[in-house]
This record gives sequence, structure tokens and C-alpha cells, in this order.
Amino acid sequence: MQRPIDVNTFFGFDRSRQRCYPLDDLLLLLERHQVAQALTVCLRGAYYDFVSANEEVIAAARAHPQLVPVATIHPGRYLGCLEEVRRCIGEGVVAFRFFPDLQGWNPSELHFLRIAEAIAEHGGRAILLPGGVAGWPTAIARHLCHLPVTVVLLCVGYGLLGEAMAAMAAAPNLACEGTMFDTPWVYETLCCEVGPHRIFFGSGLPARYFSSAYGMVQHAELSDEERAAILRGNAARLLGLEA
Amino acid sequence: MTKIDVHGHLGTWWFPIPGGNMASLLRLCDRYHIAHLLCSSAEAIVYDMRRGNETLAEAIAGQERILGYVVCHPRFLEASCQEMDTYLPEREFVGVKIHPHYSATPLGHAAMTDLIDEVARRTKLVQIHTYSAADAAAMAELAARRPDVNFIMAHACAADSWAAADAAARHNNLYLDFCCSDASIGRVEYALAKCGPQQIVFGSDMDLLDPAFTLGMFLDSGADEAQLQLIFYDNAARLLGRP
Repeated sequence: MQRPIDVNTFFGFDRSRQRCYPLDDLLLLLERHQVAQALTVCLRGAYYDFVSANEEVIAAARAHPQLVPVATIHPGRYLGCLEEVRRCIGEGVVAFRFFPDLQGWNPSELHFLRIAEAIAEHGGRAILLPGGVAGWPTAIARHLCHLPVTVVLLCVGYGLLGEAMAAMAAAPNLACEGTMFDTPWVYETLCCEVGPHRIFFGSGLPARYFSSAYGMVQHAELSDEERAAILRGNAARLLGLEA
Repeated sequence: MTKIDVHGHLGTWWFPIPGGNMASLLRLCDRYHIAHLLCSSAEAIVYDMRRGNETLAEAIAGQERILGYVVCHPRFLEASCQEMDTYLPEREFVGVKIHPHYSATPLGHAAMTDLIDEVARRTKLVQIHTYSAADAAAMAELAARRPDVNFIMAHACAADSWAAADAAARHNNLYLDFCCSDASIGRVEYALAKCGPQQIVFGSDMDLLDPAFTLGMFLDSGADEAQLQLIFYDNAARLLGRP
């Protein structure tokens, strides 16, 4: 079995589901499904205070090497956002995740774009953004294509897959993640349209069934090299993780 | 494990999914060990009932593996009865499919109950698209009103699958089919505890969705071999009268 690197996990209280997902539950599921490493974010940062959330996820990753800390910032706070980018990168964070869907802004807004530019300027490697709202993949491609960071569209469902592929065709630094990939031949189609090096594996743990996302990659008609790149190699290369 | 898949479609969708034909359905059936697929026409659901049913009938005539649902629309009762009278006598057709959303008719609408009464005169198996707790409540009313009909709740009310399971626990003629993009952990476990495996059937929604996605939900649910045998095959075989 190819032990995957999962780029879409979290822990904390999910206000939209009114459900708590403790860190220990995530760790248990990662072990059960033999996930090698997981990019994870603390939901406190999505719903309440991103500074303490980032401190929490950095501490969690230091205690549990299978976790790769992902920082988050709410652009709406404005004050202190750029300082938080610098602080997190100084702590070794290389990936930042944003929650415009939960926080009521969109990725073409200037208060977000100045944070994205700061991430690129200070050496961040990845920006994770939801790709599941109509128009967002297009806006993300248009506004972030000039930055020297990889922008990963999370949770793209079949309804927006066409827009996402067009956005990836327009912006070479745009990639996508497979939590919501549930249609036949989706991985084969993406490999053909944008290339296997721009597809990342993600599961949505601990909220979603891991085997739904993993089974889609497992059963896809891919070469061994393509499957390995999607499950592990692309994330390892992007984030400088041990392959 | 050999499976009966109670939820498939013949036809294309407005998403970037290759396929939409019999070859695609049969390829997926082979890949996932599906002995029989119960299928309705996508065209009949979203645009042209008569032409869609006719196309499906031509495609599945004379073979055993793909079986058909006749698509009916509540606002066109007379035409729906004609469709049922045309196709249900054919051995390839095993029931009726109703999609409240695409037929713009809520489950509680009088036109829906009129149609269900007509359906009950002709077949004992109906698959109905359900996607909310309100749908579950309406399905419970239909199930109580027509205990002589077995209802498959397609998608098991999606994110509100707890409501579908609660309804099924009260009405033993309600069956849950979990296919959908919502792979939230706990959906299947709750239903197993609430209504038991004998009222859960396997549906994939192919070739809109890949069967791997829904299979992953069951694999992670903790269902044992005996429960999976019921879910994947025995329950559907019983509904079809084909043990």
C-alpha cells in the first residue's frame, strides 16, 4: 500500500456541523488508515482566533511528527495579519489555509490578496483555498497566478470541476485536491487535462470517510507513477517533506 | 463481494464526466463486481420523460445485467401511467423512479400522492430522490400511506441521513441508499444502529458518481461481513424477488 500524504485534515470544533473533532480522534484515524503525514489546521482559526489556533497547530505538529502544520488567517481582521504570516513562516510553517466559505469573503478581495502576496514574499510554499463555490476557481486563477506559490483548490465537486480545470489551464501554479472527487474517471481526466503533478490527495478527515476519497485513487486507471505522485510524491515535493 | 446496485443512470450530465452510455455502466459494473444495476434514464429525469424511457428500454432490451426503472413525473400523471403500462410489463423493468426536484413537485404535494397511488397499482418498488430532513418526513408519510410499496430513499437524504434512518426505523418499507457526495463519517453507522442493515441497500449513482466513493463509506463504517452481504446483495435481491 502506498502510504499517502493527506493535504486536507483538521481538528477542533466545526461550528457548521456543531460537532467537535478532537486532535486525538484525528490521530487515531490517521493511524487506522496508515496516513504517512497529514496537513492539518485548527478550526479555532476559522471560527475564532487564528493566532492561538496557529500556535496550537504548530505545537501539535511538534508533538506528533505525522502532522504538518497549516496556518490560517482571517483577512477580515486586517490588523496583524501580515505579522502573523511572518511569525508562522518563522516557526517553520510552509502552508496556509483560508476559509472564505465560512467567513463570508471571497478570494478576489484585496485584504486577502495582500496576505497571499506576503506568504509568497516570505517563502511560503502553498496556499489552500476552497474551490467549491462558483466563480472562485476563476478568481483564484486570475488573482494569484503571478505568485511563486502553489495554490491548491480544496473540495472541488463535480459541479465546478470544469471551471477548476479551466482555471488550472490558465494558471500554472494552480492545483487541486481530491476530497470531493467522486465521479468516474475523474483522476484519469485530470491527469490528461492538467497533469498528475497538479493533483493532491485529501480526505477531509476526521469529518469524512477516508476510504471514499482513497478508494477513488486506488481504483483509478492510472500508472504506478501517477498514483504515487497523487498520493504522496506531489505533496512531499511541494512541502519539502521526506519522500 | 458480488453486489446489486440499485441506483444508476443511463445518459449524460452537464459535468466533465466521460461516459454516459451502456459501455461505461458495464465497465463500472465489472470493476466493482456488480451483478445487476438498476438504472433510470438521465434524460427522462431532467428533460424528456418519454424519449428517455424509450432510449433506456432500447438499451437494456434482452439482457439481464442492467435493469430499468421507469421514470415518472407527478405533474404528468396520465403520461406517467402510459409509460408504466408500456414498460413495466417488460421483464427488464423492475420499478419506478421519481425525482421530486427535477419534476418540481415536493414529496408532500397532492400530485405526488396521486402518482404513488397509480404506481402502487403497477409495481411495488419505487426509488425516490431524497435530500433533506423534510424529505424524510414526507417519505414517512408516503410509507405509512402505502405499506404495500417498498420505497428506496435515494441518497438517504444526504447530510440529513439521520432523518432518513429515523424514518426507516419506523417504516419497514423504507430503504436507504447512501450514494452522494456527502461522505460524512457516521451516516452509515447511525443507520446501522437505528434501522439495521436489512433496510440499507447499495446504490452508486453511476455513472454520475463512481461506486468507489459510496463503497468507501461502507468499508469505513465498521459493518461486518454479514451486514455487508445484506447491504450489497441480499436486501436488493429480496426487493427484486430474485434471491
